Amino acid sequence: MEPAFCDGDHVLTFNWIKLQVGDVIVFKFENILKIKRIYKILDDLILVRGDNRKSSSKEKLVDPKNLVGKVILKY
Amino acid sequence: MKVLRLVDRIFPPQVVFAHCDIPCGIYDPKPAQIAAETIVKMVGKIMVLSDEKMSVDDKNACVRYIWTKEEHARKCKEELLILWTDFFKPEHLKMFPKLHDTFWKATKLCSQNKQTVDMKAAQELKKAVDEIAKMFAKAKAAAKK
Repeated sequence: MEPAFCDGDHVLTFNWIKLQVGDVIVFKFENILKIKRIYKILDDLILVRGDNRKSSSKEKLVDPKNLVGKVILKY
Repeated sequence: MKVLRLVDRIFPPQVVFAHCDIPCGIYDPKPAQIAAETIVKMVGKIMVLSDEKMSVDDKNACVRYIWTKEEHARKCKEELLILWTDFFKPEHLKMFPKLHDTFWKATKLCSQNKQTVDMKAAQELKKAVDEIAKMFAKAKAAAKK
C-alpha cells in the first residue's frame, strides 16, 4: 500500500460509514487482517486491490461481513 | 497523534497486512469448465435416481452425487473469481464490455446450482463458463500480439 501506507503506520478504522470507490478498508481474510483500496463496489461484494501494484497485483473480492472498517486516520 | 500512539502502547492494536499473495501469473479456465461439466453430469444422475424407489445403495449414491455437485459448484465459483479478479484487468473491458455481467451471472449460477437440482441452471452455467473460456482465449491471444 506504499506510498499511502508504510510498515509501522498506525490506522484508525470506522465501520458505520458508507463505502466509496477509492476508500481504504481493513478486512478479515483467512483469519488475518488486510488493508486494501476499494476499486469497485458491486451489489453484495467489494473489489479491492493494493496501491503498490508491483508487490500486490492480485485483486480480491471482499464479503461485506468480513469488513472491519474504513480507514479514517493514519498516525 | 502522539496521544494515540501512547494509547496504542497501553492497548496494542492488531497488525494489518497489505500483501496477501504472490502473483503467480498462472491462469486457466479449464478447472472451471471441468467443474461445470461435472455439475451437469451430477444433476443428470440425481434426477434419474429421484424417479425410482431408492435402495440403501441408491441413497448412498445420491448423497455422493449431491456432495460432488456441491463441491464442484464451490470449485467452479472459486476458479471463476480468480479469473475475474486476478487475470482480467480493466483494459479487457474494452474488448469485452459485458465482462463483469458475464462473470457476475456465472458466479450466481454456481450458487444456484448448489441450492437446486436444475438441469437448466446446470446447462446455463456450463454455457457461461464456456463463454468465459472463449473470452480468456481471446485475451491471451491479444496479449501475445
